[in-house]
Amino acid sequence: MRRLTPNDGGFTLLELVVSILIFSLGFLGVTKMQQYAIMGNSFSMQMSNTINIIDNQEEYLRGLNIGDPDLTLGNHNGGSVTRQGIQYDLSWTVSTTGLGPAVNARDIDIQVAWVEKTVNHRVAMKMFRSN
Amino acid sequence: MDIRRDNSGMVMVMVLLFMLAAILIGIFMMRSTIIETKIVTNEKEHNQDFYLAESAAEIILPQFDDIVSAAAWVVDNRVNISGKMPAGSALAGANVGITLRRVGNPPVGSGASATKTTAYYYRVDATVGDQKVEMGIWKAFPKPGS
Repeated sequence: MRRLTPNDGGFTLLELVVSILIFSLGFLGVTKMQQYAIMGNSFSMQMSNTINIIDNQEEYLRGLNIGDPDLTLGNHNGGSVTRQGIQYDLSWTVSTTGLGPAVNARDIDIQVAWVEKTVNHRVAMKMFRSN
Repeated sequence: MDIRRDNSGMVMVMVLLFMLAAILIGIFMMRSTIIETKIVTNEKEHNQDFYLAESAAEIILPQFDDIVSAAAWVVDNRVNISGKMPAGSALAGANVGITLRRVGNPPVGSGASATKTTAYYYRVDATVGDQKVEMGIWKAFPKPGS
């Protein structure tokens, strides 16, 4: 058969192998980057959920009378909320403030804990109440 | 060598172009994730500061008499009462002030008598971080001779 052009070889086997190698190495990096991006977004979502739960509880506790059973000294368990398949455990701790027992004020620490696969997360926020 | 007929090396160029595209997509994805995380972290700090500022304004109420006796009352003169915050607590860094706004009759319908009492209207302001909360409170004092 007559060759149409002097060089119609396209690409050599060696060139192909090297190209595939570079491409796969690079693609592995991009995949890893994508994984981190998805993980980061997922964490942001969990954090948003947590902030919403704490916000909700903060407003609830602020509206209560200081003598309410939910504001007695000690630890309180607020149960758990499941959002997007993740369980968020809510609890809060009520203690006296540095103002001393003469002043009817409470120091409140609201905590939300959740487990992301095997990693434990915990967010706490502080507030104070008085009568 | 004729440049138009020599295709060798083209595969490498194509692969590198594809890689560039993939890396750019990856970088923009990372960028949006980082921004998202920053937004959430900011929201958390913002909320925490707001809770503390709100708490600082509220915690004034049970020790109000103590604060009134400690300050000289001049209208529109802000008195710093940051020292009245619970020692060693998250409120210790709060900047809290109280200002007498006006003196007059107690609010109608409040149950306080306008003939027997004079009401003092105060503004409490509390600043924690970049959050500031202002709260209005009033207290009725008996008129002399009643």
